Amino acid sequence: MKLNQKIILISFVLIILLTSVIVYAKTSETTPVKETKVVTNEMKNVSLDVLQKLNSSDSILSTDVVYDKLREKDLYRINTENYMIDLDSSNNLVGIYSMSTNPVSTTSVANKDDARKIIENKYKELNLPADYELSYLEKFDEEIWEADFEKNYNGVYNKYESVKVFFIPANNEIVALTIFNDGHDDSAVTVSKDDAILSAAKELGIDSSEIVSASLSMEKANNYYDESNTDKSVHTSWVIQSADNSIVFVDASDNTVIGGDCINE
Amino acid sequence: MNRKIISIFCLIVILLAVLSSTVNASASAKVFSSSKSSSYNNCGTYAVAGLSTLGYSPCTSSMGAITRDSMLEWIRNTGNGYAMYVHTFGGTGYFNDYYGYSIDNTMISGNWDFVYIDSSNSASSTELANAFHTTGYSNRCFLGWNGSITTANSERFNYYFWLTYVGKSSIRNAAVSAATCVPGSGTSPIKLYGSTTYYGTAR
Repeated sequence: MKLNQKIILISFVLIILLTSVIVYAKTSETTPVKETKVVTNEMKNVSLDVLQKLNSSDSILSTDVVYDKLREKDLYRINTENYMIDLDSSNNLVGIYSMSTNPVSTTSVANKDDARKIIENKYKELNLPADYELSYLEKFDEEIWEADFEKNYNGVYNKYESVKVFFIPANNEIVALTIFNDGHDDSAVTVSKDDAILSAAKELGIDSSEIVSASLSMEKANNYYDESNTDKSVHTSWVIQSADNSIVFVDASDNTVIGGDCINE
Repeated sequence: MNRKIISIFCLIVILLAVLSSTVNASASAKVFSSSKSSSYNNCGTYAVAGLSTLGYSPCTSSMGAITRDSMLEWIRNTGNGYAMYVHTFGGTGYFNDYYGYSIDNTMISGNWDFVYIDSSNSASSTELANAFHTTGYSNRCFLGWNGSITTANSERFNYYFWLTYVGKSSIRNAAVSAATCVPGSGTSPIKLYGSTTYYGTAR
């Protein structure tokens, strides 16, 4: 082979190599999910109905089916210019997420009563679960408010059967909304706060005087204190916090530790 | 003839050099995740994926027993580093390394495009956001927590923020969307300083 031919060959190989590297770098950034499930026309109609209730005239730009690892289920996603709408396989609304918010001309001056009226009306318009009640309404930042509607079990709210929504009262605008619909534990509360504190202190190896708070709520079991635990169900629990920011969930019906957490402080 | 071929060869070499320098010129990012948190591995991995989606290249990570010196070395870098995520413990106006040594606003310098300090109360004041010079510009922002955050809630927020919403909307909207995915009232007090329309995209 002549020198000239060698040079041309080397140049050619170099160009091919570089092109391959660039193409690989671009395509390897995203891993497309191989999915045979599709967003049906009925799902699209549900999302168009939701958009109408949001006073949006958006049309559907694209659809996806994605697996949500934390919810352990497929989500049927409808993308529009301004919203991402998620449905489950039964066409039930799972979430509404705004891609952009309209500018608020003046600093939001909505008071709590105004905010309550606006979000309760929007909640009804969207046909969200009628048996959830407004349990929390607070200002989130200068413009956005947070409202939570939760199912009430004899005074204990279940955050896993709830609707969590961030909205701008000044614009009557939903910024993001997620519907949670996990079952609950209907066991009666038979464990006293003091007994639960003793169990938590024992788990943490501390004196019960180092416990700073204890409250009743519904929590999902986890493997925070016991790696072999595979239970992820919702339990009515005493949530016990220690002075060093450790949190222990104690089942309120059998006084066992079902999981825990920690504050990043 | 030889001269012609040599000229073409030289041209190709120059082209390759220009191309490779362009590829390496994009802004880079670094992820620090402290193994004091039980969710450090997932949070760090999610952040690397999210920052890569935003175009930061390379996006490197340090996960485990992260030190103050290694974070300060990155914070004070004079290269192409424009974004940073730290998953750790901390409080108002400071965040800690694995060993509990703090970094506060007096130790921070540089002009950053996107910084997210994932520790309790990191955004309860403007100190860290201002120190990173992420406020007052149209293409910069700071994300942190305006209150206490638990390890589990942080991990859940980060899963949705980095893997689902980032890159599809402004950082502000992506953060609010992810915040609704954390069940419970006031459980995800995410706070943004800086531009509310910035997508976090690498320069």
